[in-house]
Amino acid sequence: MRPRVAVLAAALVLTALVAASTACSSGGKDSLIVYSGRSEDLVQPLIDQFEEDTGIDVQVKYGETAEMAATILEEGSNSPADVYYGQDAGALGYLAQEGRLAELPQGLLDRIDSRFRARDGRWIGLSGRARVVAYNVENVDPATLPSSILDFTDEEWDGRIGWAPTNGSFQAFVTALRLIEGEDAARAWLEAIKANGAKDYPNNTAALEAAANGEVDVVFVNHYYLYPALAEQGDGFGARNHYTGPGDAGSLVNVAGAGILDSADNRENAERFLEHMLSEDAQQYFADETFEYPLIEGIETHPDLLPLSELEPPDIDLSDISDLNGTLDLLRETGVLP
Amino acid sequence: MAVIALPGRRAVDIPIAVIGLAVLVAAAMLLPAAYLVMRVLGEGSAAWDTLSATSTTDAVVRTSLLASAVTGGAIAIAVPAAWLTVRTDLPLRPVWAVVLALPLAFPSYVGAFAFVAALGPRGMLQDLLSPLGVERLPEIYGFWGAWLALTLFTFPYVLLPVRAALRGMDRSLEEAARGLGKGSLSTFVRVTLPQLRPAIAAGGVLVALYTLSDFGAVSILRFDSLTRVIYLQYTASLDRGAAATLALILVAMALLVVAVEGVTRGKARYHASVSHRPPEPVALGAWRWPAVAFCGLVALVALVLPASVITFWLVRGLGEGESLAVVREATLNSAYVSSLAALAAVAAALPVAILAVRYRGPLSSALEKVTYSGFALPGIVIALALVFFFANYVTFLYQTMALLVFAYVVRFLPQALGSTRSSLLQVNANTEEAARGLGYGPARVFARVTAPQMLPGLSAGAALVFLTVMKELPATLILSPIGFNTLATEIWSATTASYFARAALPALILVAVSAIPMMLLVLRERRVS
Amino acid sequence: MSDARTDPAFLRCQGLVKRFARTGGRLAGAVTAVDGADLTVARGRTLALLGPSGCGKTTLLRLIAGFEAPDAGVVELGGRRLAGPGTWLAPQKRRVGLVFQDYALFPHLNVESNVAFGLANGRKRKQHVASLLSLVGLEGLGSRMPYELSGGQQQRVALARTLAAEPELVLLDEPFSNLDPGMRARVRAEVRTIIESLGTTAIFVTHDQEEALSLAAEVAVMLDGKVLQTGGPREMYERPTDRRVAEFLGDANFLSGQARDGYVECELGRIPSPLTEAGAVEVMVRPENLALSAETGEPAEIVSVEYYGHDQAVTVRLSGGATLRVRLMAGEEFSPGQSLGLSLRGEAVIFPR
Repeated sequence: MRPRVAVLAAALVLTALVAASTACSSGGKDSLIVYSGRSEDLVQPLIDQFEEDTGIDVQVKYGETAEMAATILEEGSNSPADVYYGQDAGALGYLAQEGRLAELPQGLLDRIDSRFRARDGRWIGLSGRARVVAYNVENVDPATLPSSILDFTDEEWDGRIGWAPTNGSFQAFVTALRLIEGEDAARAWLEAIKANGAKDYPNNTAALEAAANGEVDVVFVNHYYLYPALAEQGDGFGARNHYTGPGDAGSLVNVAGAGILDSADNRENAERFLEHMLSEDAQQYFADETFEYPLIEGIETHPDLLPLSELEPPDIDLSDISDLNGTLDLLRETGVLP
Repeated sequence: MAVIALPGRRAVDIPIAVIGLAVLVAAAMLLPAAYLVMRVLGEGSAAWDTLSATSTTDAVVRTSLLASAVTGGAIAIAVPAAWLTVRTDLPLRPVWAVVLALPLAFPSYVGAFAFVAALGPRGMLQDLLSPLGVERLPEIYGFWGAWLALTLFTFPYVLLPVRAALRGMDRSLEEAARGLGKGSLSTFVRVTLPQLRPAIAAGGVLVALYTLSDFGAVSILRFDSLTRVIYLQYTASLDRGAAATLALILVAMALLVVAVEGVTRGKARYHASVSHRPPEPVALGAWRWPAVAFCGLVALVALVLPASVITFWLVRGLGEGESLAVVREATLNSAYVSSLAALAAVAAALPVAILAVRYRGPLSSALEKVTYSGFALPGIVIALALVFFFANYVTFLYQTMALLVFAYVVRFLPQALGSTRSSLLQVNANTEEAARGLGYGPARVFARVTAPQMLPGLSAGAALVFLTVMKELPATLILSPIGFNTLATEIWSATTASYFARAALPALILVAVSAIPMMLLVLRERRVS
Repeated sequence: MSDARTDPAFLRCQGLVKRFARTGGRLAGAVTAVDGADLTVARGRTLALLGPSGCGKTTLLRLIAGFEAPDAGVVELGGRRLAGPGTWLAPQKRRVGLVFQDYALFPHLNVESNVAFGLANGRKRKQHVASLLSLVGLEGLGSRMPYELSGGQQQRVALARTLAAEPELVLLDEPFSNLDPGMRARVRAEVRTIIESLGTTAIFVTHDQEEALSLAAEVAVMLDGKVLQTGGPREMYERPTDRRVAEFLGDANFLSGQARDGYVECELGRIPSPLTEAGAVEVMVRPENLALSAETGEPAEIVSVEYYGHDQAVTVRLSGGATLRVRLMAGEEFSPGQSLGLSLRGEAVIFPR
């Protein structure tokens, strides 16, 4: 009996594999392949809408922003991807620098402020996210919070700070700090925060949790992590966002953005997709559902957020902070990163 | 009546097919290493700078310390637990047998997170203790936190083979020792333990290599192991050359671990004699309740605690009006691909194990060791290596289920190999020759005599692979066909967006589904005895 | 070709050589396990292959069964060449059954399935198994698992399983060594009866000389990879052709002597000899072929006495200095220091030097 079972099982495995292999052939004329570093929960409703509107079949590969970028680099010119959609400007900038992103049509680029897109037109921001200081509501009176990120070097914050130094948005913020305050000030700031016993968290989610349960009192994160937590855990959730003052590096607005691959088979569909993501509907979706900042004119920011006009982020071109190498060197030299 | 078989002696007819298959498997297992070497060579002298940096040396030292400590801790938990659940009259023995195997089902990125939520300085435990005036618990971050989490989530790697070895071990040896006037403890240390050495070593290798490869637990518990540094190279600077250089160190460390295991394993060539009687339990007497307390404590921290935390997330989310996403498709996908991978891994392990056990020699032992080279690598390295080879050279398989299953086999083959190998060691080679003498050719002998005797080991190996594929994330994200979601990717997707409640349900289902093969294994044991 | 029924060389091994490569450590290099062994067994005969451990007898068995390939020499069975230069028959095609020292029963199968393993599928299968089980005295135990059987029962299952395949030759490797001494004699007799009743050609491998002499129609003594002598048990014991065979089969006294025409001169006096050439020889005398008396014989002094109940062994020293063992009935009492006469009462074997 048994050997027959084994043979049967082996045959089954083979057929299953062959069937599975032939099942998914990559797209024809009306298709589009997106590699997304943003998660399905956030992005899929927009994709569904796009498919409905255009009849284009969109296949999305979800993963971490950097992993998806690394995958595209390894795939080389054989990459099936048409569009790369990343969480931060850093990975987009790297892909552009490696020559993997094609120039976007000017009409598309012109729809948003030039600060939020590549100077060479190879990637474009789709939604904005602000850096904030999330604080524990029990231990911290928001009125006493400094209006500049620079002031957290004060010893009163000793042992009370958390951050996520491996996070791309954090690194973008450090780049902004270098540009605004200069190399030496940035170094001094990193060293001082480290001397204040800043605790490393693997990502923004974990950092925010730590602020909420009082493990630390303040964490430097992106603004929108708060809202799913409030939705799931109710108003009792122990952390809230604080925005540092106008023009402060701590109020940097970064983007999640996209680019079209140089090897894209479906360039036209890819352009339509980006247009869709910058449509009023989609931008409204970002404002309402993902609690991000819309990047085109005329869309209301979510009432819970400080509008961009009041936020007054530092005047920095994101093209300038997509080059991370200097920042990484600095982070390593100061021992913030291993 | 234990008999020492000398299976190494057969020089006749090493089947070419077996050698061919084993070489093929080993070649597949070397793909990631080949990719790394290629990237490192492309780096030139920069690779040398990365290697010789003090930060690298420090990370290597830290990682080695962690791997050693976790391996030691896992053995210290697993060996007594195995003995208690196999050889004694511990109350609810079969329940403990399943329960203590289950911590392996927790993905380390989920388990460690739940760990922090529960035991962190201001975690749930502190919350419970706050009426007593406990404001803060001691830090669990760093070396000891990573050590504790990894030990608790990996000790079943040792538990399973040691249990199997205890069950297959000839009790008369122990009885002989008792007859010579040795006490229980002395018998265990001097007779039982040496017999268990190959099983402990086989499990210990898996623990050590898993620890080397782990990213989830060390990143959440903030321990800068080599994988974290590698990961950083990818995420922060997309520096594939530096990442490859560091990853190659992991390959070297893996081979070192395997070499150490080879020495520890010794020249064990054993099989249980046919006169083996099913064991009669040792009466624990007054030690009954301390023994229950030991098993209970381990189960509490390694299983009940994370499961409760996840359940809490779920309930809290539901309370706030979160709706449950349907994860039926992801559950089926996970179970399906994990089953395929488990079968494929066992099938791939067989030729390597046969060669290593029945036809000992430098070639077979080299092939066997090589298959371990990938297990110490973080999933992302293996995934990117396969992306490179398949997207560019074997395009028709790229982003297919076949490649995904192949990737799982490359990543997890050692888990199947260990138990396959040791189950083959327990098969008396004379039974195979007896069948040849009765007119059966090699293939039929394998099907009718060898494979049925190996079945417990093969299923244990398959169950282990099933379990780890269920929770595998990086290779799944990168290599799966587009639109193929698993429970692990659902969990990842929800947690990256900070939705704990949405992550909780797939996480609980993942653990529950992983429990199924474990339960089947234990039930099967009971039927046999 | 001679008549199949009486074929005197049904199994023929000639010039078999088997070397093993040893790896590692100080023992590296080749070890010659079988070194030019010749062996023939007539159809329907049983042969005991006797030798100390490490003499190569198990390897010789494995060469015959096909689990090892010879480096030189041939193996033929019933006129078929099984192995030789350019010839190789796989073990499953040889019709040679091997009963292992550890029985090697299939632990996952019950007794019945073990026995039926080598049988072709067919309607008579069940009956055949039943008759085999009754032949080996295990009726009604067909559904037991191997671990539920005693050693002797396992032994008989192993035998039944081998016989079921109707092999032309049965090889038994130390078949009784795993049994208690009390059981051994009985099982031995039973196995011999079963094999002889079926007229099966069989080779028993053993290191126990008493077992070898009592078990089989013929005995072959193997030493250092070579078969030194083959013959009936009595012939082997009484007329060994090699000093080492004499030594291995029972107690032996050796004296040096000088051959003359028709006799040998030694410390026991003149012994008739078939040798015609003069020269130094060695005289082998079995202890039971010596007698002690007060009246006649060469003067000898008693050194020690070992008393066994049914008989006794007396060690004596001759005046020339040689020490000999004498085996006597238990009746007469001796004590160390006593002087008596020692004489030969049976045959002596003369080995030229």
